[in-house]
Amino acid sequence: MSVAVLVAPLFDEATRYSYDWSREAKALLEEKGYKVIDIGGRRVSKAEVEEALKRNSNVLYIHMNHGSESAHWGSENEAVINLENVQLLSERETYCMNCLSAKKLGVEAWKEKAEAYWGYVEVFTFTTEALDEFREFANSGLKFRLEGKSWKESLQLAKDLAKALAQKLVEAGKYIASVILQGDADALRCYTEDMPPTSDCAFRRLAISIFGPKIGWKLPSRGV
Amino acid sequence: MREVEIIVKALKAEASQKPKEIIYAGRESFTYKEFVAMLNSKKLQKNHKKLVESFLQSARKMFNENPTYRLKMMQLAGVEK
Repeated sequence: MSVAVLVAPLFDEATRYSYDWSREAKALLEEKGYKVIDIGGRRVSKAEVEEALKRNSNVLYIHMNHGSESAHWGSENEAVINLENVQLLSERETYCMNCLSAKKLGVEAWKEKAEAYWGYVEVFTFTTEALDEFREFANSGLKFRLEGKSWKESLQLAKDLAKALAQKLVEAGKYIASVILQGDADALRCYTEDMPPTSDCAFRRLAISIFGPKIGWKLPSRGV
Repeated sequence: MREVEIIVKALKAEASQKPKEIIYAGRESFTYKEFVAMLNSKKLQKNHKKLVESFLQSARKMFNENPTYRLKMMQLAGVEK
């Protein structure tokens, strides 16, 4: 049986929504026959996430909560995954609905040979005016993947869905929400072996173009 | 009127009609009115500045690529075609 570790902490107003959306993710996984190790609905510690990942190789890891460039958060003060334990994502598929973590942590996970890292390079933003649409978009990549699509196909389908949802919001007179949803879609990334991370840094891009992504991303560079 | 001015004027009108809606951006939250006020503020914290820049970039992209959105923005801003 396939196993998924679903980490969806709950500790503030915004995480009430991410936790709520994680229930749909859990249902999708269970529909497809996954055993879900559900860690959430409260503050979550680094130790319990590490233990769940160490005990279960080849699991799909899902994080739905606050994120930052270098961390997935379990509470206000404790990261459950960060640059110190990113190797736990090696040879795993990781699906995030959190802010910013594709910017550094996702790149590090990819360098550690993660099979896939799905996440955002900007702050994930949503509005109370269009919760159903944001939930649908946030869970869409997981849904497509569980339907048997490749990560590359799932990424394109999620971006296409966001465009359709943004149009629906425009037609409903929800203009601020439509822009925010489109912005989230633009910030969405998925890194796999055949979809390496790209960089905003000219030096990094040059290194990648000369040496290829595997070596180009390993070269040290200031501020990258 | 420049496109950003049209967008901001239109979204101010939208925000005034929706006082209860909240935007969640990471660990922060804003009413629509608070958020739209940041769009043409010159004094923003670094993280708010980034948020505003990203939002305006997406808004301008939609304004230029989505005729329905563009028309609605112009109507809300009271700008003739």
